[in-house]
Amino acid sequence: MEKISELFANHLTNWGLVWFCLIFWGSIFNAILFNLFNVGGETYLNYLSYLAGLLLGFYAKQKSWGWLG
Amino acid sequence: MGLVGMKQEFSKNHNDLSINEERLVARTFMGRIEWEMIVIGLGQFIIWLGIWSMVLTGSLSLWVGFILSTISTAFAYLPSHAGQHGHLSGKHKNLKWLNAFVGQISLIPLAQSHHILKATHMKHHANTNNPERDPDYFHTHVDHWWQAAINVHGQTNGGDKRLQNMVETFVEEDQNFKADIERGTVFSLAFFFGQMIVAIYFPLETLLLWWLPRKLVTSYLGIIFSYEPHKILPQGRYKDTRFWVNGIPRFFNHSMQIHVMHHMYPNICHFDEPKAIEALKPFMIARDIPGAEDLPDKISYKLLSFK
Repeated sequence: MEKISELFANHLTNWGLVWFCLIFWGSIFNAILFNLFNVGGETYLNYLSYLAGLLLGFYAKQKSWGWLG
Repeated sequence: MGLVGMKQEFSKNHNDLSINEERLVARTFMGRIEWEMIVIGLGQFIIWLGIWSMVLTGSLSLWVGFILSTISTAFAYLPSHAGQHGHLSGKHKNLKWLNAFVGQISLIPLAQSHHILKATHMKHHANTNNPERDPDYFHTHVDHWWQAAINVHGQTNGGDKRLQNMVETFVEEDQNFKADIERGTVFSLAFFFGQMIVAIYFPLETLLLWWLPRKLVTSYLGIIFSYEPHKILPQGRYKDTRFWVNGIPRFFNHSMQIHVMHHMYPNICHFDEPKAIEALKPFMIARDIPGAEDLPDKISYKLLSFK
């Protein structure tokens, strides 16, 4: 159990920002597309929003942009 | 009258300016429960929840909610800070739980852990302006206020490698620090997952009522609470913090213009600092505290420079 907990902590330390950008920023990009530009609802646009969040996450990790979290 | 003249004048009126006398005077302002901070801590959280509720039910626009949430969140840190120093329980040992309880509730709009902030803040007090050991150093010793506004985010989100190294050192050498970090990590994880879950269901509301206000307020805290009182100052009990003015009445700066008092005696409650400064003014001038010579006799809500 302790080993799992340690692995989980290490994973979040290294990849927490990427997960946060994928889910948090992906949801926000999706809402912006839907609310401001009146598009969305189509599955591929949802994917696009979350893909943008994921890419932002990788970029933020590389640049150490902790402020995005 | 020059500084030397002022010191001589004070020496005539106050014969004993020893450290023991200074401590005796300071002690008269310590020990009470700072109920004002309990009211502010719980009050601002209830207001923040109210803003969320009104926006979600459509009785308040999201943009008005954003402005109100930012103002409300600006009051989130000080109650935790009071709890970090034990002001919420005062001298009552059976009420010590209030410090972490109110402190953590108050920090929900900032999505921060009370225990982690307490651990690093205590190190800030013990090592103020030390480049190797002061966690606030990286946003207090910069060239411009906007650098403080940006760098402070490295402290709250672990983006600054120098700070991470500092924290790792403290964890290795200080068991109390390590325990606080471990306790606080649970809350940090809760905020991490909590924000993601809330963003799935209420994305724009989470952005404008929670994420953006806490980022703006964190920058405000970095400038007003850290950078201005400590900027480019050396180490030393009477040298590391200064009195300052910025053209705005101190009440709108959370009274951080008189932050010196807090660094001299952290056990004095925030709301008692003006009276304590009035009583300790001769000692402050005698010890050459930066800005003390310009202090008015009475610390009002006006600018400190108004005599």
